Amino acid sequence: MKILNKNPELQRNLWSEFSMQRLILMPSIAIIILVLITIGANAYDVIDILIMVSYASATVLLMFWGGKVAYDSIISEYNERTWDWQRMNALSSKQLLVGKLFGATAFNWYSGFICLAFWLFFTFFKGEMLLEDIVASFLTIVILAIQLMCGTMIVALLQIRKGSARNRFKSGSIVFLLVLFGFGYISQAIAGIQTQNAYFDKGFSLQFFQNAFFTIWAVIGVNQALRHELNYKNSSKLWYLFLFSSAVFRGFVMAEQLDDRRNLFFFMLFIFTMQAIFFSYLLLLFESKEPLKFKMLIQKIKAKDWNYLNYKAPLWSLTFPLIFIGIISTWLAFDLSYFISKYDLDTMPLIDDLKGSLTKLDTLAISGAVILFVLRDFLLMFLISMTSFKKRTNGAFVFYLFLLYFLIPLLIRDTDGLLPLFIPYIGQGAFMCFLFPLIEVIIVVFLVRYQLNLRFKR
Amino acid sequence: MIKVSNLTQDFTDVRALDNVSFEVGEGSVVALIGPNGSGKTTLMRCISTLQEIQEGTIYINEVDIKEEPRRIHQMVGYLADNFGLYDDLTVRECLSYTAHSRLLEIEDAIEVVVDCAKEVGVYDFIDREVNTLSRGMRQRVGIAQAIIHSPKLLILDEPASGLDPEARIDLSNLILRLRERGMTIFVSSHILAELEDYSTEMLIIKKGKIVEHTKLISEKKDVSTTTTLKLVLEEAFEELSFLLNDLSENVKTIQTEGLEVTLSLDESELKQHELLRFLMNNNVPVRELSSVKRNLQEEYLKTIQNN
Repeated sequence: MKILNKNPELQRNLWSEFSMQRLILMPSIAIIILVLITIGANAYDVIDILIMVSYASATVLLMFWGGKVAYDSIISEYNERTWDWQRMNALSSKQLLVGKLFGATAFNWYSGFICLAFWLFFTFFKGEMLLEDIVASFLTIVILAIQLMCGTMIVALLQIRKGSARNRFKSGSIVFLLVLFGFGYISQAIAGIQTQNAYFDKGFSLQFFQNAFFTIWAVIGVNQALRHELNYKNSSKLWYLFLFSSAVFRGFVMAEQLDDRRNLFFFMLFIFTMQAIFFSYLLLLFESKEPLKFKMLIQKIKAKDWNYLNYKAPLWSLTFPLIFIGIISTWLAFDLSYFISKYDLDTMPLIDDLKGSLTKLDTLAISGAVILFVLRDFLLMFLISMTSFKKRTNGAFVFYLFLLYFLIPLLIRDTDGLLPLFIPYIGQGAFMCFLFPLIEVIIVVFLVRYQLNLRFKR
Repeated sequence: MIKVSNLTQDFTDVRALDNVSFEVGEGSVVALIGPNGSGKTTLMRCISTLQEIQEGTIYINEVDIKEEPRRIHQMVGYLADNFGLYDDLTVRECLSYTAHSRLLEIEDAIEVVVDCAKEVGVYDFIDREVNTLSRGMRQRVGIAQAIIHSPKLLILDEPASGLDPEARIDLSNLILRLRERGMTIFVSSHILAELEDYSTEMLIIKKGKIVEHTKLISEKKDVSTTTTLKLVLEEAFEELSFLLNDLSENVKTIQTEGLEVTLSLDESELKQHELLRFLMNNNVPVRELSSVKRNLQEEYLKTIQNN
């Protein structure tokens, strides 16, 4: 009963997840599989196969199945209408987080650790791997499992935030995302085996610390999303801190991997801008696109309601301005580089390389065009959400992006003159590069205003 | 207890609540009635803090729910129309979980769980899994979860839907017991006959607007109220209206249909037995004198049609 006092959510999940039958069945199945492998494999490589199978099994159980179970632990609460209880009880977001992360997936942890125990046993038995590498590989799988579980929980919480109380969700989308992640992970593992005869980078590498860094932020992200559900006020500061620290950290990793520390600042700036674009588009897909909320956001911005913008504004709207900041900062870096080069001072080498082919006006036009294209896309998304495609907004939006950024530019690649209509392209001069997206933005703004007026006449 | 002011909630294509304002006193049982899609559930979810408020304010016990939603959670018990139970747990586990997650400071919830299970009548099934229970029993478990932390306000969204007649009677009795305990209760239902048994107030909502807020029963017995009386005569008595006019200003004739007269009586000035004695002393051929209970169904239909 003590655990019930400390974390009722964890206890409830343990009640649901564990039965004597399941506790006995899992190690029994694992032992049977390993015995069958031992019988079927050649005596020469049997240990290697056992090591690989036990590690791969732990990966599947903890990361992929665990990720799906973590997602379901939130979504099933919502579908079964128990989510309201959770939101109204006195548990803290941290208690809920621990309860779900280690409770709802308790069976995955149990079975995954059984596989890892076998892996450790066979690895020590073989005795070729360094202790540091063993510890790093063990921790990597645990860290990545937590990261993936938290990632799927964040997706579930964003879906809940977007959905109405009557919605029901299926786990199809998360299975698709997990499969995509799985392909990436497996190809990385295969590449690792082929090049270094290891599943990951050996030891406590940069990759390991990068995984740990993002796992910490994934845990914080789930906690923040749960706080939102429990009606706590969430300041946007933490989100900005994540984006900023991520840009700094990944910029550092990039500089290390390319062995090019002189461009560290440019890498950070580049990653900052790229992740602002990536997260804005991603969040726009996951968060609500209800015209009403869009209208409210515009009203709050006009009214300079900083309290709303800090605590209640959707995350995409908080991330969106960072694209401008990133692009303008990059442009200023170029400008500063031009200024410095006049005095024959040492500038960033990457900018030195680029400025040979671009004039100051070109960089200004490209920066402006990128901002305008992003603005067009965002307004286009809200336009779709107000039209007859509204039930398939995300699908229609992705299709438009595919059409506008990939298919049409591919088809007209020989007709140079039209390219600035679809991508930031300087080939037709700075003026055309900026003018075409500007016209598109004006048209979309007009259409969005028309739709908003049509909807909110009252 | 509850003060709602200018509450407006918009959804994409519809205004769910339109400038809703009302006040409800402590210990009231409010019947929230309205057609499907009128905004009942949205209103209940707003009061329970489950729906973010767009415009307007709600105070519960003088606590602003926008400012201190977590304090409100401790004051409110909410039961959704589908009860929302953990099917793979036993009733005891369900209630233990709720007790510990609602009342974090309690060391041992065994007593609370047993008392609550007895209160709602599920003690005999306490070690059965929830998915093996009938709808009526599931509903009781839901109510037990909603009241386990002794909330000041209990909100029940369509609690009687899908229940058999016996279960409905049990529900009515349970709500009456909770009312006697001083709990303020908000109930939405389409079954008006049952709401009539335990409600003290009626709140009719249509297209997101409150169109009627009426008191059905006086909350405090010592406070004077006007009672509607039905007087049935044995034979016609033409001087009745003159007699009543002479008696007091507190008696008014509302309607006369043949031998049946409907009166309104302010009982702070004149009691029913005094009126009866007066009529008898004046040789009025009284066959029956009784108070008329306001019929919720009639009132509701009348209001809905008028609006």
